[in-house]
Order: sequence, then structure tokens, then C-alpha cells
Amino acid sequence: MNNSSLNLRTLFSFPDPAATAAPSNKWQEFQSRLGREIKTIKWPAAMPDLTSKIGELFNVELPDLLVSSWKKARELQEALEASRKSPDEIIVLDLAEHEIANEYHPYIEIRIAGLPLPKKIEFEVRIVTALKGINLKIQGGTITEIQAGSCDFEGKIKYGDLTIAEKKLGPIELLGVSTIAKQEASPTK
Amino acid sequence: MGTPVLFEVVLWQPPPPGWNLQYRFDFGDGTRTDWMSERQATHTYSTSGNGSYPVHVEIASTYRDRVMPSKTIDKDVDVIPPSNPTPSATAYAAITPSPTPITPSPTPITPSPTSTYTPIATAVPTSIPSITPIPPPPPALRPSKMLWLYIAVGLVIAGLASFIYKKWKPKAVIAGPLAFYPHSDWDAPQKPPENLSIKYGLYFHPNVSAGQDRLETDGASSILRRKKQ
Repeated sequence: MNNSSLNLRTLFSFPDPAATAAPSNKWQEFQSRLGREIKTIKWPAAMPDLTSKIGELFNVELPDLLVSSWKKARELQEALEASRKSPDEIIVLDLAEHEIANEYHPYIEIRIAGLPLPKKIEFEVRIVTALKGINLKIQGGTITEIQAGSCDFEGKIKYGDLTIAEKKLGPIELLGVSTIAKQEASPTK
Repeated sequence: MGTPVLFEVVLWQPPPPGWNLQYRFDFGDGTRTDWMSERQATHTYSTSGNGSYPVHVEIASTYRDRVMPSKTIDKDVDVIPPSNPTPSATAYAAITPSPTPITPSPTPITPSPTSTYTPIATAVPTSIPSITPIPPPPPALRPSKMLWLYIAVGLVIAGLASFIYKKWKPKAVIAGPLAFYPHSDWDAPQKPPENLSIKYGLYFHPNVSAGQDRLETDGASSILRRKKQ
């Protein structure tokens, strides 16, 4: 994955901890709320700078989310199965215009020695990606590359009832995006 | 004979409030005392007589100026001839009345016939009045001896406690996170030990695989438009 701009952290424009620019109002409000909540925790050591670490939670590549969804489509599963039987053959799949909606709940678990239950800081992520002109290169039963296409990205990250990030981007070119690494790391669901 | 003998009426319990006891001692040799409230009387026998004298004690009782039944005590006193050595100046004899139930009247002014206080005197066999003196009690230990006695008892108790502790001291390890950080120099300012693992952990769960996703086309066509080889 060489296109770092397709990282959710980048897409949602999470503030860089090293940046000198002041964060947005939403981000400041989130920091304030998080600060109030973690004050209830009896920290045995210096309190970690949680807000600077929140971005690590969103080091998720958008193409990985897309591949995960594509592999659940019946037609693509059949094509991948056929490719698995002819591992040397390279197949390109031309996909119709479609939309993928993802919702997931990343969280940070804080475990403190002596406390029986960990503190959980959970977020809600909703992403809708509208894809056009997608060509997928598959080989050996694996989607290896997005050869062509573009997408419109719309996403929202919420912490409780507080929306801490909301983005609407597009079109984003998905030309030549490799998807091998992700698929090797996690098997097909 | 020739030695003062102390006679005493020993009561098992003091008379209840309102009761007044009077005593009259008859020493058996023709002499007797007047009525008196003292329970003790001293008498010196000048002759040995028949070897003993019958001592007779009368105890009169009144309750709120009303004369109540009296009681007598009789006891023979052996008199030893003067050829025996006279050990001490004063001999002691005790006459001990037995305990008596006391039932005061509900109306103290007119006591009922059962509301009596009768100091029944029954001589205790071991306290037969005689000229032979009762041996004095052993002298108390001197303070220095008492101190050594205390020290010895303390050492015995300490040794016993040590033995019990060594034999039955708890073998179980005390549960709980205990950590010791030795500081050889206790006067030096202590700072937190270094290289300790942080006692909290942050675990990041992107949780993508547990999420939900939905893939939709326009509904009319399949997602797979064309397959090229």
C-alpha cells in the first residue's frame, strides 16, 4: 500500500501531535471531554497523552476496507474461486458502479494494574464509499490490485454523541493501488 | 493461762440496715462483759480450772428499736497450765456464725414474723479458741526479691511465646502485589525506581473485522460487469 493518502487517519485529517497548528473546535471539545472522563481513572503513573494516540486507532487503509467488502460479494467470490484453480492466470474484473457502507467501532482499552475492569474508550466510524469504474486485478484467488477507478468518500467518527470528525471527499483516484498485503495478513471471511 | 486471749464473733455477712447487734461475753470463769456493740473481747484466765472454761456469748438483735430473737454461742476454751512456755502476748480465737438468709419485711416499720435476722453462730472446727497462738502469716517478700520474681516470670513467658511462634508461625505467603525497593541510604532523597514497567496499558482495537459493511449496486445489475483475461 503505497498511497498513504488513503489512510483513514489522513482522510479524516486527524491532527498531528507534532503539529504547531491549533486543532479544530471539535477536536478540542473531544479532548476536553476525554480529559474529564479519564480524570475518574486513578492513574498509577503519569497520565498518558491519549489524544495524541487516538490517531493510531485509525491507521486503517481505505482499500483494505473495500477489499474486505468486495470479497463478501457472491460474484466476486466465484471469480476468486475460479482464479484459485488457475493460479498463474491473471484476471481483471470490471465492477459496476456501486456503494460500500462500512460501520465499525474501534476502541482503546486502558488496563490499569489493580482495577478489575478496563476502561474502554469507544468510537463509532461510519464510512460510505461510492465507487466508479473499478477494475480489480486478481491472481491465485487474491485481489492483488485496483487497476483503475475512483471513489467518493464520506465518513464520520463519533465519540458518544459527539462527532469528532466528519469528511466528504472525492473523487479519489484509486489507480494502481496494491491490495496484497492486507489479504495475506487476514484470510477471507 | 496468764495470757490475754482475744475472742471475736465473726459474722458471715454484715447486718442489714436497721439491724443492731449487741454482744455479751461470758468467759466461763465467773467473769463476763456488759452488753456492747463490739464483737471482740479480751480476757486473761488466772487459773487453769478444770483445764477448760465454757465460753458463752449472747448476741441480742434489734430491728428499728424492736427487740428480736437472740442467739447464743457456746464454746469450751482449753487453758494450758503455766509450765508451758508462753509464746506471745495475745492469743486469738474466732467464733464464726454461719450464714443466715435475710428476708427483710416489705414494711420495715412492722416486720413480719419471718423477717428475722438471726446470726446463728456455729463454731468452725478449725477455729477452736485456745491459748495456743495462731501462727502469724509469713512475711511478705522483700521488694528486691519480688523484682527478680517478676523478671523470671517475664523471661519464662517470653521464651514460651517465642517457642510457640516458631512452632506455629503462619506458613502461608501473604497474597497481594508487594514490591520492595531497597534503599541502602535511607537519608538520601528517594526517587521512584527506574526501569519499572508502566502500570497501565493502552490497547488499540481498530475492530474493523467486527464491523458491518454493505455493498450495494443500483439494484438492477450485478456488481461484476465484465471479466477480462
